[in-house]
Amino acid sequence: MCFFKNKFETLTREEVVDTICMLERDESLCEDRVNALTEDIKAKLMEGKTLDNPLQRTFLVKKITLLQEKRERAIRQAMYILYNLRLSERLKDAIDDKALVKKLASIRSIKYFKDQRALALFLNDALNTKIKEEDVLTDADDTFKAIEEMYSENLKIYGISELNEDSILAFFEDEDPKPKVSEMNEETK
Amino acid sequence: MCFKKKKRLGVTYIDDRKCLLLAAQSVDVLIALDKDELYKDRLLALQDSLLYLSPRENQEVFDIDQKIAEKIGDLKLILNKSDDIKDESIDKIITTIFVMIKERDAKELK
Repeated sequence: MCFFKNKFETLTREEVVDTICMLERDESLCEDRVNALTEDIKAKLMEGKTLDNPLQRTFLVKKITLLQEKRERAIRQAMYILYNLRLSERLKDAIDDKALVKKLASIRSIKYFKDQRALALFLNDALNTKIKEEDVLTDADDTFKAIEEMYSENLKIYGISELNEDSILAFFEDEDPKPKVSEMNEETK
Repeated sequence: MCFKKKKRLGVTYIDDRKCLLLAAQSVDVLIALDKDELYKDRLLALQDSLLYLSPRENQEVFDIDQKIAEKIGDLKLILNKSDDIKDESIDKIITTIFVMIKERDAKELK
């Protein structure tokens, strides 16, 4: 039973982006603080080596301990901000995904995919048209073959029919060296 | 049983105007984030283009305006992260926004 709109539906992408920007800035500030404290601690440790007075050394140790505690707190803060940042990035991705899916679903050609029956009919029709046209082409090919088979070559034009043509052909098949053209003409006479 | 609020049909002039105004104001934030002023000129030109766009009650035009606002949001994220190094993706996104503004002009004429 729901009377109210889901609160995440009221969130805009702009708000999530602003949140991410703010978290990144805070995380960067925390990191800078941690780095500054680390440098400070290192410097004080080096300073401690140069001190001879035990009381001064003890005082320095207390200071270093305090700085270390501050650093630990800053690191924990940065980790907490990072975790929030991670979740905000995932929320932004979810918003983008939803918007993309909604946008694609509103495109006419993609919307029509919902009607599977109409799609099947359309594809069937396209396939039948293709088969019909292919049959027309193969029938035309068969007609060509049938007509060409009826034709027989005219031997008077394409064959050897005269007596002298036979003797010339026989001469071609002879193994003797080729005579001069004039000798060949005398023979044929 | 769930009572759903009846959805308002269509886009109003006020919705589109808010979207464009917000986008133009967000560019101020981008200019502030650009510490080295590497993209200042292009961002100012972008802001001018956005301020002179006229709101419409056309759904297609509103969709483009929303996409422009999203791209400005992406720019905000990149400028927020990037150090002093010039990022190629920033130039690409700014160019994309200009192209989308031209597409919007074409849709307006239809």
